[in-house]
This record gives sequence, structure tokens and C-alpha cells, in this order.
Amino acid sequence: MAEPIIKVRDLKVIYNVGKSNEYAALRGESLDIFPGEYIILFGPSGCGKSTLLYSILGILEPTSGELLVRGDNVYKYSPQEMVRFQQTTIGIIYQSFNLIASLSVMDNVSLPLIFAGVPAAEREVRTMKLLRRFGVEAQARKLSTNLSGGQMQRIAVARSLINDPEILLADEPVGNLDSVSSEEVMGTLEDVNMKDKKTIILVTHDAKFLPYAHRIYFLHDGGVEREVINPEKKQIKSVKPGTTILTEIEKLARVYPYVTIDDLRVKSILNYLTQDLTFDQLERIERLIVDMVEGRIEPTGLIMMLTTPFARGGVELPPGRAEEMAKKIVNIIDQAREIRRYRKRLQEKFAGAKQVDRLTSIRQAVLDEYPGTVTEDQVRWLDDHISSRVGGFITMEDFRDRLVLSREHDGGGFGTKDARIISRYLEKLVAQGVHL
Amino acid sequence: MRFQDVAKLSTRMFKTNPARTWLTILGMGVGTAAVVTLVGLGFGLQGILLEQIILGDTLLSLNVRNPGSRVVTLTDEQLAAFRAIPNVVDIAPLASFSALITFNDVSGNITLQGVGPNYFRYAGVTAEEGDVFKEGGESEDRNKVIFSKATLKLFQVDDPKSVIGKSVRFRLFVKNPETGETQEVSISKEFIVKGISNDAAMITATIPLEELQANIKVPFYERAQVKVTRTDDLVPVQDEIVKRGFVVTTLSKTVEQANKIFQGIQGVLAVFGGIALVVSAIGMFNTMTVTLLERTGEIGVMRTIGASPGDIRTLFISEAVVVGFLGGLVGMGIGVGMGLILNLAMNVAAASFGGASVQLFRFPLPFLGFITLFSAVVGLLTGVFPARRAAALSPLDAIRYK
Repeated sequence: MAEPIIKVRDLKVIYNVGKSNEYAALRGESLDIFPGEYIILFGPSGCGKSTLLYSILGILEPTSGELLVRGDNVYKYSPQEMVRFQQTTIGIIYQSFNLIASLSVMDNVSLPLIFAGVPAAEREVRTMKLLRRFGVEAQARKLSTNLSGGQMQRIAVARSLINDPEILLADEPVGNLDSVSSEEVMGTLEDVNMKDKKTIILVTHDAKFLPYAHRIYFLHDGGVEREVINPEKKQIKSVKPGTTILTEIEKLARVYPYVTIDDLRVKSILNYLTQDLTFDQLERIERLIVDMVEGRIEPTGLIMMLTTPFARGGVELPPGRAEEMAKKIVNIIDQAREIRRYRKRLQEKFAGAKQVDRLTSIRQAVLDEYPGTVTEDQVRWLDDHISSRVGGFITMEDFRDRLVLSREHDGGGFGTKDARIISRYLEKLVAQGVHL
Repeated sequence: MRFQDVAKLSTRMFKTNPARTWLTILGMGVGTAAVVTLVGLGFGLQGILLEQIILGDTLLSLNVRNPGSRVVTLTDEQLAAFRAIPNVVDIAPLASFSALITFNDVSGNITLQGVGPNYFRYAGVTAEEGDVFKEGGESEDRNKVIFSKATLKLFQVDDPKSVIGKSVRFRLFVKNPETGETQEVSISKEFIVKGISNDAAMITATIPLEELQANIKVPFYERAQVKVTRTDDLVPVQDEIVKRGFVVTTLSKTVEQANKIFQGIQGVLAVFGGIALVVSAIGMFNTMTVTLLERTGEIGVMRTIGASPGDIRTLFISEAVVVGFLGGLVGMGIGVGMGLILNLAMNVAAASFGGASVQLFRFPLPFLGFITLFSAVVGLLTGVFPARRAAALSPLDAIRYK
């Protein structure tokens, strides 16, 4: 097994030691990063992930503990060795790109070479090669301002790679970018990791980038809370059988990135108690619902996918259950559309037979979920109150409370259990109709 | 870092902040201009004075006179002995007698001097009108006489030109050294006025020494100009002649003293200009400090991508030197320009009041070169402190600085 390129043991970083505003950003962290790995340090702001990154970069000396990069304590380096280390071993990209506005793209990228005293001709060759690779060679002679965020960040990546360092640090590299540019830059980084075999340490608080990494360190309050191995990537760190096992918790962690490990265990039990479906099935159903809502598949297609065996990419539900599920989804989508139209007309102060029809249709859908029978009086009451709720004149709680009040008190006169069924379904529809 | 990269990186401010950069340069320029103009005035004044006394060989001449006691006198034998002193090139003696001059039928007492043509060069006497005796023109100058400016006053002549070509007669009063009697000798010849010398103090008429000697035996000379080879020889030769009992003065001493005085004056003027320069330097220092704050983030980034503290320091200092040097050039332009304009204005005024035009401001090239270098050094000094602070910044604090 290869030696870790970065080894951190019990690392503590305390700001303002001995002052009234003393603050521990890292409280004894330990982790190992191996050559060629793509590591994400993940956590909410203030968890110490950037602090760890800057400590590795050599500009934030730890208060205590051990931090070895390629077996060396970089803080023991002489100033010259430190400059060499930052020139040749490590590169960094920042959230705000940090390009130098007064220099051309070419000069920005070759700046590390300028400081290293490399002749201009050689610099230009190396710079152009990288700019071409990242698709920004057309911008080479422009000033680094007035470019798109994605372009600027790719230029920054080129700058960090110009000296061919072994380790690339990235501090929230896509935090300032739109989703398209983010994907571009993340793709660039993945490419650098896969093709150039660079070790990448990326700091982010956005769970959507976690699949890029080999391993993810979840940081919380200045410590590593857990280490998660990405099962979709071939691991570089050798995992001995029995030492680390992948559990359902890792899957749950992706769904609930900010939740502590104890809460994840609780969620796992809760899932078992309330649902007979596995997380894998849930994930697939989720994707199918997305396709339905966005109109990419028809109800028949949905039923087919739901009944297809799991091994062939389906959910493997019994046909009756699948049909019921499809019907419910179709109903919810249809009724949600009715609610949306109803609200729109209401805002336009439009009242007419169509509005009454819509209200009736919504009420009917709600009552379909209700196993009991209702009097005509209750139907009128429901029409009134569903109208108020859908129009937004009463709250969710008001509606539910009034359902159980007796008719004498201008309530719906339903039992508490029935009230819960009716209000729950109506709220599903309202949620879909209002936020669609 | 390579020199051309340093140059490129440290001239970025002309692109990023042209207005501020040029104003800073102008600030330095005005300060430098004050120094240039004032010191230029000092040089001008010095030049005007020295122009009056320094003429070619004058500075290499010793003025030798008889001691008051007349223990020794400047006889031909003594002069021959002077000639034997090493590095003595030439000797121009001056004989002088009291005389009665008759000019335009008016007679008056003057001092009649007899000199060789080389005397004028060594003594620094020049002609204001007409000409003095020239070497090689001895035969034609035989019956010529040169008046001093003061002599014209004696005859109440306003226009020096009117005197040229007029003829005069002399009668000499010679004191017999043995008997002490004064004997009157008349010179039969008429002399024609050739020129008017610039001597405004003494009432003299000067004729060729040979003419004087033809009429009268000269027992000893009044004084002699002893010319030496180089300036360095002045002191040893002077010492030698003083040892023989004569009184020696040199113009070079006088010039030296005058120069010293003017160096003092220039110093005072430079201090006044220097105050302006200090003010500009403080302004520039301020700009550099603001630049430091502005660039803090950039410095942090540079440090994390491989710039050493030394690189950061170099960039700051070279930027300051560039601004200082350009400030020096601009200041030189403004200072010289101002001097020339003032000079022109003054000369125009002087011409309209009938005065002579003078060169009141002078800017020797070495001085201009020095002042340009000096402003670069001032720039460097204003850059040193911000540069050290920039180099000492913690990269982390610098990146986080907003």
C-alpha cells in the first residue's frame, strides 16, 4: 500500500491563542490522503474545512498535531523551501478565482513560472498548451476581467497546474458559478484527477458534487465526523476487508448531507418502520416521479418501469401496487394542475361555472381518499373551506382544526382520524399545485 | 524573477491606475523641479560672477608683487630666477610709473603701465572696446595705448568708441631711488588709443613694455604674472616665490573661495527645494501605502502560487523606483523649463531698461544627471517601507483581506 501523500494526525488550529476571542477551527483532526485520490472535504461553513486546506497549503501553521505532506512537515521548511513547495508540489484554486485583473490571461497562467524565473518563450509554450486543453486559448491575450466565471475558473485551474504540482487544492471552486459553468469546472477537475493523476482536495458545502470524489470527509465543528467511500469509484486507498464496511448510512448521508451520523441511524430505523421499500427502490421511484412530473414518460411507461425486475433497472413492485402507485401519481399531477388553474383565476377575480367545476373536482379527489360517507351539508362545508385553503385564506392548521369542530360551531363535524386523512391529501395537492 | 518580467509587472500601474500614477509622478516632478530651479539659480549666479574673473590662463597665474619693505624687488634677475622654478611656463611683468597725460588738450595724473602682450591673458584683463595688445602684433602695437575704464571717467568721456584712434602724450615722473628726487621725463612720441580695458578701479594707461623701456630705465617691476603649467603647480610655485620674500596672490584662490560661497548658497537653495521634494516624497509614500492596501489580496494570491517574499519586495521597490525616476525626468523638464522662461522674461525686461542680458539660470549636465538619479533614490526610499511590509504579510491574512 502506497504511503499517504498527506498525513494529518490530531491536527489542531486555534486562532487568537490566549485572547478573549480564542477560537478553535480544527479540534484534533486525523486523515490520510493517498496519491492520485480525489478527496472532498465536506461540511457546513465554519466546520474548519478551509482551515485544513490552508494548513496543507503551508500558509496556516497548525497549533498542534502532525501534518505531513510527502512525509515532510512543511512548516519546518526554510523560506526558500516553502516557496519551492508552493511552486512545484502544490497548486490552489479559489472560489473567487483570484486572477490578477491587470494581467492578461496568458500572464496570469504563467505567473508561477515568472516567479520561478522561466524564460518567456518556454512559458508561452506551456501556458498555451494548458489554455488549449481547457478550451480558453482564444482568451489568451485578453485581460482576465470581462470573462465568464467558468472561463476564469478554468484559467485559474490552468494557473494551478502550470508548474505540474502533485497536489491540487480547490477551495469551493464552483461556489460562485452557475450550474452550467460548475459542471464544466468540475468536469475539468475530474479530468485532471483521472488523466494527470493529480491528488485533488476539494472543499465544498454542496452535496451535489460528492459523487466526483473517491472519498469524502464529512467535517463538523472542527473535526472529521465520518469518512465516506464513494462506491461508484475505484478506490486508490486500499480498503482491507472488515475494516471499513459500506452501510446504508452512506446512502442516507447523500440524501441528508448535513445530518449527524446518530440522526442518520435513527432515520434508517424510521425508514424500516414506515416503509417496506428499500432506499435503492426509493431512489429509482424518485427518478421516475421526476420523469412523470416533467412529462417525459406516460403512465403506462411508469407502470412498466415499476414492475420491471430490479436487476434490469426497474423497481420490481407487484403489478397491482404499481398500478395503484401510477394512478395516485397521475391523480396528484392532475389535481395539482386544477389547483394551479383555480388559484390563477381566483387572483384574476374570475368567478364562473368553470371555477365551481374545478372546486368540485378537487373536493371529489379529496373525498376519494376518505373511506366514510358525507352529508350534503358537509359537502357544502368542504367546498367553502377547500376554497379558502386553496385560495390561501386559512392555514393548514386552521383547516385541520375546523374539520373536527361540530357543525354547531361551524366545523366540518369529522372524526379526528378522518380529518387527518382529508387534510393530509389536500395538503399534498396544495403543495404540488402551488409550487409546481 | 527575470529583469524584463520585473519591469513588466512593476509598470502595470500605468494601465490599472494611470491617473493616480501620473499624478504621483507629477508630485515628485514638482518637488524635483523646485530643487532644479533653485539650484540652477545658484549655478547661474556663480557663473555670472566667475565669468567676470575667469579667463583661460588667469586661473593658472600667480600675481607676484614686491613686499612693502622692498627688501627684494622684481628685477629682471629675479624674474629670470623665477623662470628657473620648475613648472613655471611664462612670466609677464608690469612696470608702472606716475605720469601726466595730455588728451584732447586736457592733462591729468594717471598711472602709466608697461606690459608685454601676454600680460593681458595672465591677468585676465580684457577689452571692453577696441582691443588689447596681442602676441604677434608687437610691431603694430608700438605706438598704441590702452585706457582703463576709469581713465575715461577722468576725461569725462561717455562714449568709449569716440576715444579709439585718438592720440595722447605722456610725461613721466620717475623717482630716483638713490637721491629720492622726482625727475620728469617727457616721452616724445604720440600714442594712439587702441582699446579700453575692463578695469574700472584704477586710472591707468598701458603701453607696450618695450616702449616704456626705450624711454626710461625700469629699476624694478611693480608686479608680475607668473604662469604655471597646471593648477596643481600653483601652490608649490607660490610657496617657492613667497620663500624668496615676495607677496603672492592667486585668482584661483579667490575663485575657490567664491565657489565655496556659492556652494553654500546652492546648499541653502537646495534645502528650500528639498523641502518641496520631501513633501512630494511623503505624498508618494502615501500612494505606495495605499497601493499596498489595495494589492493586499493580490499579494496573498501571488504568495500562494509561488512568489517569494523577495519577489514581492522587488516588485514594490521597482515600482517606486520607476515612479521616482520618471518624477525626476518630469521634474527636470519642469525645472529647466521654468528657469529658461524666468531667464527669458528677465532678459526681455533688462533689454527694455537698457541692461545687459545675463544667464541667471544654469543647469550643468552632471547636476541634471545627479538629480534624476537622486529622485530615483528618493523613490526607492519611499518604496522600501511599504515593500518590506508587503513582503512580511502573512499570505493567509492577505488572501482574506477585503
